[in-house]
Amino acid sequence: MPFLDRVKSWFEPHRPLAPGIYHYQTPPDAPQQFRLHLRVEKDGRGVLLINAARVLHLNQTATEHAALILQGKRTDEAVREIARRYNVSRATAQADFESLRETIWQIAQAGEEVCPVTYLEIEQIEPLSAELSAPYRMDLALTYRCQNDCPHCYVGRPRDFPELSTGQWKQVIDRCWELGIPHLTFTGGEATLRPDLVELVRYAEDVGLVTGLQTNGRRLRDRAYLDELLLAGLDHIQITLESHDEAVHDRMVGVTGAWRETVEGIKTVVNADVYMMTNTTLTTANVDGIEETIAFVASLGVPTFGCNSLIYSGAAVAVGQGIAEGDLAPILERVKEATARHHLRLIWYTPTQYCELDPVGMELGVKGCTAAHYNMCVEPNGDVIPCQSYYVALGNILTDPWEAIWEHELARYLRRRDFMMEKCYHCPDQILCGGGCPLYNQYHGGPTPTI
Amino acid sequence: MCKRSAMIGAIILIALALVAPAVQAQDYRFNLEENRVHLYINHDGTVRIVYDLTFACDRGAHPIDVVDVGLPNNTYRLGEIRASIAGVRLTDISDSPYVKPGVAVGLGSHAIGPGQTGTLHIEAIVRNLIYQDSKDAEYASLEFAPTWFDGDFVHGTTRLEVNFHFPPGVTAEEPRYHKQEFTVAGFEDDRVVYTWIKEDASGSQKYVYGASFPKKYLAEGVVQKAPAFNINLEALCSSPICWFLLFGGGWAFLAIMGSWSQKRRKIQYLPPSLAVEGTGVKRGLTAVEAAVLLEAPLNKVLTMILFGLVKKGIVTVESEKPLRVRAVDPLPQGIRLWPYEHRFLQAIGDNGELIEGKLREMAVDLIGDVNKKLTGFNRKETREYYKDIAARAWQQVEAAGTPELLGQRWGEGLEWTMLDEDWEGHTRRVFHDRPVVVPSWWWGYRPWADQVGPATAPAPRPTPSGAGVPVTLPTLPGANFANTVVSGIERAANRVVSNIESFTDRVTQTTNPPPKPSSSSSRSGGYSCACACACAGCACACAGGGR
Repeated sequence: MPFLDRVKSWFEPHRPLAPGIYHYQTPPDAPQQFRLHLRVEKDGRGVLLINAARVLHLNQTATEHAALILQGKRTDEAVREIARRYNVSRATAQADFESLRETIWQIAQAGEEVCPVTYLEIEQIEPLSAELSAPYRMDLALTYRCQNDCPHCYVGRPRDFPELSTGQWKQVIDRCWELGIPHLTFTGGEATLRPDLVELVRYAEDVGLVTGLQTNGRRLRDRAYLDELLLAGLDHIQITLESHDEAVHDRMVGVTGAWRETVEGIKTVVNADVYMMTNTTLTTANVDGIEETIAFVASLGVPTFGCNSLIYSGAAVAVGQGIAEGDLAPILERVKEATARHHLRLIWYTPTQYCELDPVGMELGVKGCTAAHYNMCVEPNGDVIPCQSYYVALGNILTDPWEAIWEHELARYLRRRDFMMEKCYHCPDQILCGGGCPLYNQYHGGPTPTI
Repeated sequence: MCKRSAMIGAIILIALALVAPAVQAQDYRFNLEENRVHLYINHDGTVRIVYDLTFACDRGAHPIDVVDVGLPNNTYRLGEIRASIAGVRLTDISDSPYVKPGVAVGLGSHAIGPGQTGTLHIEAIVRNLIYQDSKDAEYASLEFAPTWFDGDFVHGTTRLEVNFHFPPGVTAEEPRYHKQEFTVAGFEDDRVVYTWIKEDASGSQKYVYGASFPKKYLAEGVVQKAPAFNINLEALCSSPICWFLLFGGGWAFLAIMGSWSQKRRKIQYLPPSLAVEGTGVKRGLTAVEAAVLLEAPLNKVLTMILFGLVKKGIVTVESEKPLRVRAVDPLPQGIRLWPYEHRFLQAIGDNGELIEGKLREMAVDLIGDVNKKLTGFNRKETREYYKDIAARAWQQVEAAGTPELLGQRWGEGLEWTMLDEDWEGHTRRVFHDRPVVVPSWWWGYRPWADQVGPATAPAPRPTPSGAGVPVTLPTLPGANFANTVVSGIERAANRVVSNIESFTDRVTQTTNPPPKPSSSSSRSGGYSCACACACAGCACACAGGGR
């Protein structure tokens, strides 16, 4: 540092940690594996993500401690640093540092069996109330090309949509990291159609990101290809399976023979050492046989069954196979019963209006729209959209300032829940519910943003 | 010359560095909309201080999750402090590390979020606050400054209201205000009240209010004598004047300024806090599930299930020693059974004895189901919620005005009252001097039993709800009934499994196994899962699905 700058630094007051991201990964030989990402926000607060799945909100002081923990600082080093920058005694700094480290390690090592709210009496805040500067997860739609041709496909773009080059995608990955986004999923279209997918996974993992793949699974029946992805560091895979019934699945994906390849892909992935799950879109075309589909998924050795309702975007708007929110409850009771019977974990995705379908009451978890908040999507050309299904570009991640994208009027509209139906305005459950899915609401006569 | 100039320059630089302004952490930012305090001056010399502090948390600011409230002196006791917000009692109260004397109140899940407003209610009792009035030997004096907050955190104007409630007996014309005249005087609960109101106060400024009143309304010896010298040693020692006097000269001044500015350069330290998105209390558990949550002994849980089935008319107890039960077959229509009740019925052997292996499986599943239901909810608050339900169930029973109602409410609320750790003692106390009409289902538990005491009719046979001929139920002396109930349920609990310790051990070996190391590939982080966290508010709702 130049001498003058050094002198200047003597006069400067101490500031909170600069915005950025810290990363910690357990050594390969550690008995329990986990990854921690700490994003420091502009005001010094932090968000700590454990395995890209569990989120802890930290105040400024906790963020400072957590950064030192993730950097592997010894207690004496950390105490010295904290006492240097903060008005605090060393004894207090040490006690707080050790306590926080123990808590974070406990949560990280306990895994998903131990919910910190339930068991560790960690403070809680309202769901979806945190103010962020970037999402927790970015979905990278590498391409809109796909071998399937689902009549209910939510992709509202043509298949020959312009695509970034490998180098440009790497820039996108770098940009996500700079923004403090710790988690990427590769999606599409069908991401495995990109020849550079393995390279991009490896690049993202080298940067420090957690990576996942959403796929129709057809290409994953090739074990050698799957191994390449896993060797590159891919952390999790989700494969779409619409039915146990070959004919129903093939009809729903628009391609004869697709079911066989997808099932082969599922079997190949199940046999590999990677977290995986399937996902099923519940429509009138497949819901009658949902118990059999769940039984089939269980028979393949899949541990987790995911499902969602139709997403009202793209071709899905006109397909006419959607199930109204008010009719979902008995279906989900059947799904719950079937997954419980087969000892499958169940994940329900779709945000609904709680007066129509209450996921908390049904013990499916809090579900709310997280578009432009906890997750966003980068299209094949680098444009950022609020989520994988909401086809209004907020800006281009490579050319536009992030603040302009994050604070785009549509992004704020979605975070403010301005898409709520009128009936929601005076509802006491408004904050928890969030008003459901903006795309569903638009389709059913609700507000449409005029932006 | 150069060397001397350089040295002077260095000294100046050092001096300037020591006085460089500091940046204060801007974590918390709020407007204190109202600071309303009542002081109840009591005959025994204690003063009960009651605050209602209304905070409006700025958008984009840190939620107000802890409030440090200053108190006049250290004579308060933490156990006497009461705090609540929106009617919910707060229990995280400790000595404040930042405001001395004072307490820190953690708001926990009731933190006031950005853009939100909330009112914190705090009550504390302090002593030694009343002094001899310096102008009138017959008067006692009280001066008080309401708590205020750091100017870096609070902004805007505050409605400040200070109320002095003089001891009972003080008449309207007796009190005398100090310096600042009250805004309004009146009566409340037969006490004279002086009220000072300042609509445009600053939340970061100290305002002092005082008044005197005849000390004859106080107990002997509670009025403090004013000290000959009022020296605040702590303030003196940290005062620049003290250092200047001790060391003298410009070096003292530099040392003072250096110390002050070093401190000012550092960031304000607040206790580290973690928060997770969650949804508070998990409602809708059954009494049995609540018992699991409250970690009731497993034999008690099993007994609750048994009695639940007896009440529903599904099971009768054929003998106590050994415990043999019989289930009706087929199950009556229209009666809902919980999954654990179904599993309990499956644990009834051909000879009526309960098969422990199946009971164990049922217990494991029950515990797992309760844990799953609680995911994302605050376990501690939920436990308090169900303890409260148990307490209310007892209140319902105790409030029953007739023997019929007593028996009915007792029966209806049995499983909830059984959550009470002192269920046996409570039962004996409630019934000991009250007659009770025994609910009909009770004979499903002890159909072979003789009458417990004087009865007005033969014991009825248990029938499923809606069936059978109405019978006149006997009225029994409550004490006799209580003994029968308590001893009966105790016997059932002791016999539902042969050895509760080993039964519990084998259950917990399954429900709480030692953590297994997770497998991982050489490169991946091992466990991670986009969209696979079903916890409340996780970053994956509606993500990834939809293909």
